[in-house]
Amino acid sequence: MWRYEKRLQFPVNIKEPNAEIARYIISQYGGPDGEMGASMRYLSQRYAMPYGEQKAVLTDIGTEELAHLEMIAAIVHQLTRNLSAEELSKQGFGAYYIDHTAGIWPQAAGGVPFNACEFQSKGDPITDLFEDMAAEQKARTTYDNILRVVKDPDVCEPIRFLRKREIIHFQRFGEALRGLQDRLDSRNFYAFNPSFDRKQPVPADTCGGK
Amino acid sequence: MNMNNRNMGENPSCGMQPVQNTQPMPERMYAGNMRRGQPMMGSRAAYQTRCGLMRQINEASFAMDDAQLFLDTHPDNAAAMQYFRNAAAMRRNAMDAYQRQFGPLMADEVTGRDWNWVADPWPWEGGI
Repeated sequence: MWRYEKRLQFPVNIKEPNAEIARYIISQYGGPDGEMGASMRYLSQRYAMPYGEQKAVLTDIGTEELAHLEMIAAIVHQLTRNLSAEELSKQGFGAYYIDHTAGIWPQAAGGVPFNACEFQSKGDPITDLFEDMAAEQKARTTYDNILRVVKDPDVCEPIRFLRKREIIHFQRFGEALRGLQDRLDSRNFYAFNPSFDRKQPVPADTCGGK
Repeated sequence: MNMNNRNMGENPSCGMQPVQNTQPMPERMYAGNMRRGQPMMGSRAAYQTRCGLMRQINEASFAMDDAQLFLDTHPDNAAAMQYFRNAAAMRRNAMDAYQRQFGPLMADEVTGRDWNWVADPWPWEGGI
């Protein structure tokens, strides 16, 4: 379960509102490679993991992603607060403002709403861990893209922190995958799904029968 | 494992000027602690401010979070366990010092008769 600690994992203190870059950064809230997708992905996948190490990695990284989600919301909130409707509109934030005013709503930079199709929870631990490694790289690339267009150091600091965390998470998922493979038959990692098949692998010629 | 925790970087938090000393905080806080195995009690005047105490919490907590992820995939690493314990102790001290002066960071840390859990500011508003 979760308790809430009343602080951000890394501080966000933005002095200058800027709705134009808020449009881009909101993609890390509800976009395809954003923190909501990351946290839902990892926290959903953990139930099918067969061993404690992988359950712990997914739970702990999933929890950290919720903290990152909060940081992104703080950035977007501070970039868009205290602006008039006209200023929001002039800075390219008009369409979002019409439907959400200056509230926070999970969508991609292009307007696609957050949805569960943006992640998979396949119920196969090898598959899921490869998905997670890819997810961290996609997030890192998105932060790279953000850093090319953002100049305000108040915004760059927390974004750089988040980008570095994606790289560390990628490392941990790789280690979790190796740890899982160490427990499987190295002659054939795909012989059976340790999350699902209860018995030893069924010989190929019986087609799943007893 | 990267023991330097450079991920925290420089943080010109609380709207103040960037800190001149660029050595990552956990390094400075940990120098000597790893040898003694004891958490350092913050005594510098700078850290008695709300921002300063929050910074101590953020850095110790981050060191702990990072060590936790490392331990999840390296559960038998004794050095990492010691690092985690040190970080957890420093975090505990920093939390106690902050909450004594500035109020609760968790709901079960509310003391006194007022439910000051609801008090502003909340973390996404900035300023701390």
